[in-house]
Amino acid sequence: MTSWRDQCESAHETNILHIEDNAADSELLRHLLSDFPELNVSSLSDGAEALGYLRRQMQSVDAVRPDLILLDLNLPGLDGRRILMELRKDPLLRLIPVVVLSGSALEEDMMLAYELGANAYVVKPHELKRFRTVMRAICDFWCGAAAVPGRATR
Amino acid sequence: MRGLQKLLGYGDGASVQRRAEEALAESEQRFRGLLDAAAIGFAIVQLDGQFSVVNRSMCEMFGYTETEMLAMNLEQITHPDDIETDLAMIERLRAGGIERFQVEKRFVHRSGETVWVVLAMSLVRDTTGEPSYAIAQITDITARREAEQELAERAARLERSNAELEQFASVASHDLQEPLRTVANYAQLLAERYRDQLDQRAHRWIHYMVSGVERMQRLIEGVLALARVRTDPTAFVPTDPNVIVARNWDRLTQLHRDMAGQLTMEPLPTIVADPGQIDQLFQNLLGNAVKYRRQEVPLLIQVCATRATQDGVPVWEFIVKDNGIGIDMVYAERIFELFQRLNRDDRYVGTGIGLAICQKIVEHHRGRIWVDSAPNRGAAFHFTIAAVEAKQPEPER
Repeated sequence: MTSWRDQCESAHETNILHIEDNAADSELLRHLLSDFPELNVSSLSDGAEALGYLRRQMQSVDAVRPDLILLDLNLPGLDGRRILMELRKDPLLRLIPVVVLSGSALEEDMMLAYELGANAYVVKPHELKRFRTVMRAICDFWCGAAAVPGRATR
Repeated sequence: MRGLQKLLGYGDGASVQRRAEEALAESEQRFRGLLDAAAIGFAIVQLDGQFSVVNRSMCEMFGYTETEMLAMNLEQITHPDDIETDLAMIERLRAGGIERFQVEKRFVHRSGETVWVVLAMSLVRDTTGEPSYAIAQITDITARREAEQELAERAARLERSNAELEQFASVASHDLQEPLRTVANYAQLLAERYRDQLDQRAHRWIHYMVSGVERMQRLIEGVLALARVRTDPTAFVPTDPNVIVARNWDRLTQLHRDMAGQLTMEPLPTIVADPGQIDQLFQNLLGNAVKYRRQEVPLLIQVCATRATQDGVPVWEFIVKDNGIGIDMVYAERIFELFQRLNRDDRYVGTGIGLAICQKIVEHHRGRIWVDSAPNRGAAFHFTIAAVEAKQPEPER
């Protein structure tokens, strides 16, 4: 089985795919992540489009593959839970770490996300400073501390 | 001689017959009187369903005269939906398989209204043992059925409104919070990114925006908490308020390290209650005592409980008394209403939801809550909880 792991080079810049329909949130996140020059962030606002993009990327040899997916739960059309399910079913995509960024602090939303295979569930902070701290922690961990398939630990 | 004959009961054939007839007529009349005086419907029903005797109650129950009723059969006054089961039962009775049966069924009144009854039929056999006719006793239970139906509808309505509330809770926590967060995030981003380009006034205005959003968030969370106070009978367990009060006081003193305060508590009785809600109740009451303390004197809180009766039922009356700023008794009732705040003062940040939650919780425990206070004399919040003897207090988690 050829997985995206085999096709990745060990030292590349870290690619993050942000799936978010809210333009304000998407821009805010990009702004917060601009503190990390080694991160390459791309955003998609539509769930079906994002899945299609990911599948195409996995099949082409020299395309950019995300090392981390930041996923909003409340998307119109194909919503975040559905995307999570599809990702975990797909042999080429199921190992990509997914951090759910959600506006909901409800226990049931959180539990469902973990059950569907999210690697982390993060409630979007109302406080900007906190938001920045949280994003820094996510990137430090998933794009640094954590060893994930296809990337050598730094 | 004739007098003697009469005395001894002798007589000619004709007079014997006449007396027998008189006795029969009298017995018949007595039977009829008894029948018509009966509060329940009574009928003799032929095996083909035809009525041969009906009493007054029965006629009144269905709105027909006796003559009309006697020209009808059981099937004719039965509700169309019940005819089939009815016929099956009567068939079994006629075949001699059963001696009697009792069913709840519907008849139809002359006016077309449905009449719910309990119908009891018993078989009467002739001298040879063959099924001969049936005796029917009919009790009108329409009022009871309607009350039951009303109750069922009310339960269904409650279920629906609870489901709507649940949905509201989810909407409030999610969809209402999202745009607020965007406003807060971007207001802060503006202040941060353009720090040097904005003058003091612009920064103040941004600060107003952010605090407005923060307040709105607290309100949403409060309404959500209120909506989530629900009666769940399965959550009622023996609950030790001593642990709950101590835990909440600990938490408050951790939160306000600079506060000079002391809580004294008499041993509180174990109650049968929803421990989560009792925790919320003390959290709000103690929290209020802390929030509305007087700055110039150390805070003193006393918590105790005494036995009392409420509507003739034994209850525990809990009292949480402080020495804070107190309230004017003019507002004693208003403070329990949603969004009623007495202090517009910035020092007392509040949402006006806490006491509404307390009241809802106490009412769910079939108790009452009230306040006894005066400005600058502190406030004593009283609430009652049914005194059920709890044998085995469950350890608090």
